[in-house]
Amino acid sequence: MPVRPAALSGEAALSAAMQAAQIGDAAAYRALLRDCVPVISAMARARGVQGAALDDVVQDTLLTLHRARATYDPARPFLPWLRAITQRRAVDALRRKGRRPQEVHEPLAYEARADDGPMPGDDLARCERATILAAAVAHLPEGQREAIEHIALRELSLEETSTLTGRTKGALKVNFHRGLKALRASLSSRKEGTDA
Amino acid sequence: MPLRNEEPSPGALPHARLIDALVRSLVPVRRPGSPLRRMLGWLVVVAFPGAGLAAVADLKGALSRHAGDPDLVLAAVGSIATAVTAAAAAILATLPDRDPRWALLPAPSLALWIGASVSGAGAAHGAPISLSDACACVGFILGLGVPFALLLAAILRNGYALHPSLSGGLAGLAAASAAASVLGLFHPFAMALNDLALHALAVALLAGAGAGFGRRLLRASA
Repeated sequence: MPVRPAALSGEAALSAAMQAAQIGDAAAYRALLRDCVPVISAMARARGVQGAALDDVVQDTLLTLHRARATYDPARPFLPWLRAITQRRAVDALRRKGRRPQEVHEPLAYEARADDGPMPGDDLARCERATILAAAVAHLPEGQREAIEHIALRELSLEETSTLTGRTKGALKVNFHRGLKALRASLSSRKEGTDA
Repeated sequence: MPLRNEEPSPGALPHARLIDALVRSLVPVRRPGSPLRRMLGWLVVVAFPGAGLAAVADLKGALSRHAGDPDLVLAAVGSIATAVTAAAAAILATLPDRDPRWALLPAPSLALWIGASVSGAGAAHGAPISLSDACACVGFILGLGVPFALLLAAILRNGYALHPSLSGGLAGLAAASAAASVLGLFHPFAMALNDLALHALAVALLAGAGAGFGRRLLRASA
């Protein structure tokens, strides 16, 4: 008799849900992914990932979990499997961050360097920009919206986006360029309206 | 950590769209076989051409050469053990929850292989062989090693390599070691330093190519 994930608790529940997902149970998989998000966040935070990078690590880990789901062995605990994937993605994120150039050996440059922290009002401005962009993206046709969201905003590759959306790479490229053009037109007309 | 089917946790809300997309693309998957079975499968397939080549090799001559030189025996044991352990390590490296230190599994046998080969080549009887003979050895290792490596890569694609370069490099090492083990049957001259250096070059080329193409070979289906 199959074990119902909801009847279990903790790691056993996650393990049972993953086992159900391996045979195609979409409801168990949805519940598993939702419950993995806070666990992945905590694991990534413990590795030193902070701020916006945390969301990137969560998304990368969810994608990797999806691709690697066949490798989970139900006879073994689930959390070490998830932790190994999360730690790898966290290390990738930290390396990406570490590759950004920062001058620290030049005293003058060090003194003159602007504070990386947010300026007063930055949060408000960022929130407003995000709202405007989200509204503009939401008005795009579905194909263009998906291409923009996955490729531009979440920085997924064409291959990953193709897997997620079921569209061909060619169609995604066309939708992406049309979406960018439409966004450019929409945002620039809005800016001109504001300036006027 | 109860599973909630109805209400997503607050932390999951920003990722709801991705979760929806992943759930939509969910299809049943078949778990890869046990690492031991996969490794044995590769060894059995690799043994077929090895046995075929052994049938046409001068086995009596090869055995008499090995009987007269303990370093040759140790080098042969080292190369076979390296093929087995590197294949096992490559397969284990495609299972995310296995300890990454399994990648060190082939280190002792590789050290034995290198040590015995250097010791044999450094002995007085190890006179340099002609460049054409040495190049033939390299061609043999690469010619047999590449299909062995591609076969192992196909087996590794059943798993998911978190470190594809490492898995690819180990697969290349396993394939090169297996090819070098078969080469021992056709090696009618004592080990020489120039020969050894070219053998090492061929092994390094295959392992390096495995590491370089690891991401492409192992992630293409992911």
